[in-house]
Amino acid sequence: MADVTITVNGVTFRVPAGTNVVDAARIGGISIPVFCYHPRMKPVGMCRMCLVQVGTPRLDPATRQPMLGEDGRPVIAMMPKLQTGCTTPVSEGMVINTESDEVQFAQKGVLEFLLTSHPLDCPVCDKGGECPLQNLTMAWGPGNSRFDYNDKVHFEKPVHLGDLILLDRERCILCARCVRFQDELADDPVLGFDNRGRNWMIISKSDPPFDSKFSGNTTDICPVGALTSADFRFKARVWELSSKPVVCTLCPVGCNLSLDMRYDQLMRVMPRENGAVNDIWICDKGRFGHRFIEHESRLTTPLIRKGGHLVEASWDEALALVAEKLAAVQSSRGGSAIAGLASPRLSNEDLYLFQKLFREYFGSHNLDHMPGSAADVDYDEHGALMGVGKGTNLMEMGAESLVLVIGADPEEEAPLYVLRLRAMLERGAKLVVANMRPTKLDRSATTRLYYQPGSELAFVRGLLRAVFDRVGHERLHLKHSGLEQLRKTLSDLSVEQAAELCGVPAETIRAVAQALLEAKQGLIMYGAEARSAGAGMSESLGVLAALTGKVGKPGSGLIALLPGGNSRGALDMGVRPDARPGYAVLSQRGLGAREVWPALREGRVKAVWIAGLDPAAQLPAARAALEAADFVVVQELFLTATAKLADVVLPAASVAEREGTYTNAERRVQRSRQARQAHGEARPDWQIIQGVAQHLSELSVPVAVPTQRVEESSQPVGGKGKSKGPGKTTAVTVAEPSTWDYLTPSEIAAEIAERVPGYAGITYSALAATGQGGDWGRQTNEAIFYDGTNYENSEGIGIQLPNLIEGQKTAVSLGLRPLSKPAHERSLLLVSQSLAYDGDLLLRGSLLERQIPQPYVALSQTDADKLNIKPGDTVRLDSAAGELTLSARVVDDVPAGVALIPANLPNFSAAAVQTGPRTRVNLVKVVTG
Amino acid sequence: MKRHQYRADALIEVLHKAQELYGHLTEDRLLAIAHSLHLPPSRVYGVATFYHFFSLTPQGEHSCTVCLGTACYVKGAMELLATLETESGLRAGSTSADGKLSLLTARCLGACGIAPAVIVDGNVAGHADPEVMRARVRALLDED
Amino acid sequence: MGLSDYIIMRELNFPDINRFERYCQVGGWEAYRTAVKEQTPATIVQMVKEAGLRGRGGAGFPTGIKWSFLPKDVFPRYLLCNCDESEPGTFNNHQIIDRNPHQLIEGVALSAYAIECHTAYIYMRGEFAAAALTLEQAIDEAYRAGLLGKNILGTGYDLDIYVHRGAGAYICGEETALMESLEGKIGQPRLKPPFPAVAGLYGKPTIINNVETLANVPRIVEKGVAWYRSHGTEKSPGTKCFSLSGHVNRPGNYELPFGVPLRELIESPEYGGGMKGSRPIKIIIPGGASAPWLTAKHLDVPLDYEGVAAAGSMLGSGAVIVLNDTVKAPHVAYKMDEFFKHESCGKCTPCREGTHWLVKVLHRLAEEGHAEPDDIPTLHGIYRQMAGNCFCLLGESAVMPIKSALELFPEEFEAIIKASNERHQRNGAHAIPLRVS
Repeated sequence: MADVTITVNGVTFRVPAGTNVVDAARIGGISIPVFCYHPRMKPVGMCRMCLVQVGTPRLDPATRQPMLGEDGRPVIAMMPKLQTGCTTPVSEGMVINTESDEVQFAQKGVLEFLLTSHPLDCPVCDKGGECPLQNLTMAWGPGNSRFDYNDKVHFEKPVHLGDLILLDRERCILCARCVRFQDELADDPVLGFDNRGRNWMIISKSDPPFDSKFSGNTTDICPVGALTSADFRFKARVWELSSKPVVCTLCPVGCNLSLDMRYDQLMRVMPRENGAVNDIWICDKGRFGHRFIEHESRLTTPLIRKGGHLVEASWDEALALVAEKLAAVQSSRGGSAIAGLASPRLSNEDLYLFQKLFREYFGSHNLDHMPGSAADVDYDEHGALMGVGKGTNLMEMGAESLVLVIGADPEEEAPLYVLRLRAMLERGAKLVVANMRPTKLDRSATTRLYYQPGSELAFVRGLLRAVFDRVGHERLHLKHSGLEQLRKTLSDLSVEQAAELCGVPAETIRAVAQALLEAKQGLIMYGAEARSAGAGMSESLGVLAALTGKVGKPGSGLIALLPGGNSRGALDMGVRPDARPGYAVLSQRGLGAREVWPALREGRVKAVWIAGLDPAAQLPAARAALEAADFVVVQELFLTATAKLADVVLPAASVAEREGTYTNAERRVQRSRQARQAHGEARPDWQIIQGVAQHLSELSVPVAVPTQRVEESSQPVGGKGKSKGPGKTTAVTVAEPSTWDYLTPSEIAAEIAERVPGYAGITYSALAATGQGGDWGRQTNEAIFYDGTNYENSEGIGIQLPNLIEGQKTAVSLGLRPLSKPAHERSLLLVSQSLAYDGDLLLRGSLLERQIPQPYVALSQTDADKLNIKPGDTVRLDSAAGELTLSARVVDDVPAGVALIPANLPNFSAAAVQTGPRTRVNLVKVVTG
Repeated sequence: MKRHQYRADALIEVLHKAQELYGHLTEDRLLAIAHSLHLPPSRVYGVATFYHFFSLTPQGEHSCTVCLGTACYVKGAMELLATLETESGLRAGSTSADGKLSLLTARCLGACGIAPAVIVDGNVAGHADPEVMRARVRALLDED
Repeated sequence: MGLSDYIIMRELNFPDINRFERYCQVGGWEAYRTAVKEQTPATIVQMVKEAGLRGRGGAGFPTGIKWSFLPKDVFPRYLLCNCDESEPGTFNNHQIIDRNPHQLIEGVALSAYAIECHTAYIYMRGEFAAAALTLEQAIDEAYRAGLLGKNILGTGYDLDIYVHRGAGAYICGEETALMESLEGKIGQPRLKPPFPAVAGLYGKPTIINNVETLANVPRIVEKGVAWYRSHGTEKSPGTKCFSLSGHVNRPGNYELPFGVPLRELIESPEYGGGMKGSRPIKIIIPGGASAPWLTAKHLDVPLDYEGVAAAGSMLGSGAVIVLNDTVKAPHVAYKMDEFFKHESCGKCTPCREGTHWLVKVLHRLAEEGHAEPDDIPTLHGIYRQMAGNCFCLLGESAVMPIKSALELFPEEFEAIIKASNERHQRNGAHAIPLRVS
């Protein structure tokens, strides 16, 4: 929008038209105090703190031109009453006075009024020290109050708005920021107002109360100490805290956090502003789910199994033992008898070193970052090849953008995306949500549609056909192969046939296709339920992005919601049996996690090294395999079920105790800093891996990988056609001898930057760059948060990986695997629902633990009626693999034909029935007695 | 609620109906209304408490509402109320233990022409005389 | 000099005009029939403009002009009839509905036709349950007569009128709060702009008029502009139903042409019939509780918008409360501000906290007789901090009683303070002070 010229307190400057007076004055460096106004929400003009004098040039009624006074300057007509700056948009020639006696009288008055109802209990208030009411009173308020202290109203307090948030009614100044945040931004309208007038109070009558994944943010935006979190209440004074920049590893969003530490103790977790990732928000999982760091059950020393018991040992002893045992296996059975599983929550440095050790020392490709369950889904390559890349910032996207969310429940899988997508909508973006069942995001969607359970692939094929019918391949500006095959595959299925298969009307499919084509920028976000349809899903979505021209440019591409905080990093780093770092496919693949368990039992694999995964807790097969294994090393935070089966347990440092980089769902690499000292003797994962490597070299185990093997594997994933030339450029050369004497993770990062395609230039110094210029560009709205909570980001905003297919280096295969006919030998499709609050070990010790549900299976009313099942009945599920008994729920949101179970609950496993990512089950009521 | 096609904007009408049917609104009823109108419970609760016509506590079998508007005030409404409070042993805004009578006050009923005004069981009594009203209240309390 | 042909209170001419048949017999619904069959909406708007009809709800804004603020070609649009009559002292709307309901409905219908809307709501104060029933019956009769509903009188014009009950909140008389309430929400005022004429109910263009305003419309259309303008003054044409209450002999609603002096309303045997017991007049509140007070010296002020405004007050809703010398100004201010405190919605700080504080001080001072030496400057300070700074007019209204009381009768406050001080000193050294200042 065009700029307009305004004059504030006699200073004339230009600001964008449409800016409100408060923000406009800020641009000119002039502060107008506010309470209810928050730059992320619509202004409401309630608190009256921002009253200012406003005048506009008087217009000549005849010419509509400003009238000029005797001095030749426009005559300004001042408005008769003071105006609230937050609700007044600037206009050309506007004159604003924020300092006149009248304004000061009003500001003082409003503050005096607010303080009449305020308990002035700053000395015991958690907000003290970062409280806008305190600060604004100092700057604008009256020196003393005429209000009789005895007339203060007292209320019962605190009021529990839920498990996490407490309300102190006396402190509340009724600015409604929290209510508005929940209504407008989070779309969880669980807060409201009770009564009226001076008795107005915030309430939550939902069940459970304050049922929102974003509730903690209300404590940040509360301009007084009315809302406090159960996690931080009465724990510390804010001026005692030092904020340590950390990246959240609890989901693929990668929110920027500040761990607020007092000495070495974590007091609270706060959002760190990053417009490209989380803005100024974090979800409750990130905020409250970091208590695991200091949990009493953390491992503090290495443990070695002696006489059937795990006993404490020194690091030297433990590392030497690991090296010795693994070297022995390698020399007797070869590297292929060793397998390594590393968690997708580990940092890129850990993951890189882990695979490097396996590939270089053991010559083993038996690597994975999944637990090896039947339900594990295929590796997501297209999310990298066709993924969003450099220059994609959701916060800058709005009008002319479209987001297709398919088979995903962002609220549970990557909560912060709910806020990000809703903010895009607010700016004019379109949101198409396609799922087999309703999710919360539906309420925000511009188009929502439900496909038949299990028919998502048919739906996407329908979209592809509709797109192809309209534009063919004219938008395909990529090096590609398999176009003919694509043409043929698509010709096999008309839009109408696809509509028939998926239950979405053909005209809707065409409309969505058209909208995707019309949008200038397009994102396709897919989650666990989409991925459980198999690799055909991400492949089809990749082709959809390619055909609609939504790849290889900013603001377009795929966003895969993968489990853990760094699955993308694990894939990029090649922690998988079939590709090296950078998606360089191996001609001869190793064993994936799913194959490791039988191999262990059958003795083909003898030793396994597990870093940060707990397969034994969920998988009976893994348990049996680990019991059968010759040698098991586990590196972990806790003594997990898996660790209990280990021969050596190595205590790992948590994210708070080490540095590292993590790659988020939008392929942004971000640096996390060390916030506290090592926990006991725990060491960062990379150090542990390096320690083993050093011991191996002391044992003179030679580097095992022949270099020629790399060259034969020069074909990128997804490129199935002839793409030898471009493929080479993405391959990794590991010919030079490795040193294994990294002093800091930054040295590993430097090696990654050198060797992993896409990571070039991503060094620690580049990541930490702040200030002006480059990718940093301080977030919009400097100082907007008006002296309250500090969101300052001192650690850079991360660096987004470039598009892998940029510059047409990599050929994309357009060939699609055939649509498989769904088998219907059993009546229900078992769907695992990802939950934010699940059995993740990292939730240990947090207030969220009590929100983790008990196991259940949810059915539609239709199926429940058919099977004569009432809520609470015990039911038995049976599949080709086995049986499982559960308590039943009957839920409106579950479509007929689906049995929905929460994924990854503690002390519960669906492995007994799972035959793959998708399982068909029958279900019967168990009649007892 | 069916009459209003479960429309969210019918909330106030629905609350009126519920109060007519049950005498007062309970938290359970409010939650049920929220559920069927697809409204957040906090919002329904907020509306029910914002408007003073709705009551979340049981009301007496009979009600006696004394208007305290300006016109009634200057015509002796406070004295009238005091008389009735003494007679019934109730504080304004409360209901007798046996559930017989609720003694209430209102801020201007729009009956200033006949001030002071009292509403007994929905019927407006104008020019209310303390002694007459005292007798009526006594009669309501003593009723079997 | 009572009106021979009442414009609004026609029950005085035709006592059974509340019956549908009777209303029709005396020319009722004719203006509407003619309008929908033969006249364009613009004609009606023009007539209302020329008649100079002004909003009777309080502000006195010209109704025809208000209607013409509707953006062209934006549909649907809504007409709301504000019958939340809650201004203390005001009780004419209730009477209109009770005794002459069909004229109101015809007024709503005619105005809806004029602004080309097909849905009109009458927002009734929640306490008026019986009146709501009366109106609903009257609306049913109009439907049965084919005057409302689809394809009215074969003209193709559709109109539905709904009665919506409020539930006890003074603030819902504020037009944007009324719209919120109609949408089933908490009745709190909305930000303006956008003004209701542009984005009102459900975000659509909306006109809100008071009951009495709309009841005028059929008479203007029926009898013509010249007839209408023969009543009242040049700037305030027509008549006004004044609600007279307080210490007068004959409180009640009286329809008078604009411009009649205040004295006549109060003293004429036809109207107020003078002060009860012939006690002197102390305070006259001419336009409902929100109006600044007048005194006996203002008895010659003409009762029209300009006249009352020139005297420093406002005609407002035409609720004239006359108080005699038995009342104490601080007490009256206290009771009135207690009303505003009770009705403050809580949205904005000055009104929520200001009324609360005012009442705290006034209660102590007026009811308990316990005053602090600084109470007068404190009270002045509180209302000045509210004046002009509130979100809507409720807070601004709450300023008036205390401001008037302090300006007109400062000696009464001073006397309480003096007495309180003396008591203080008598108890002085031996007593534990009740309050720490």
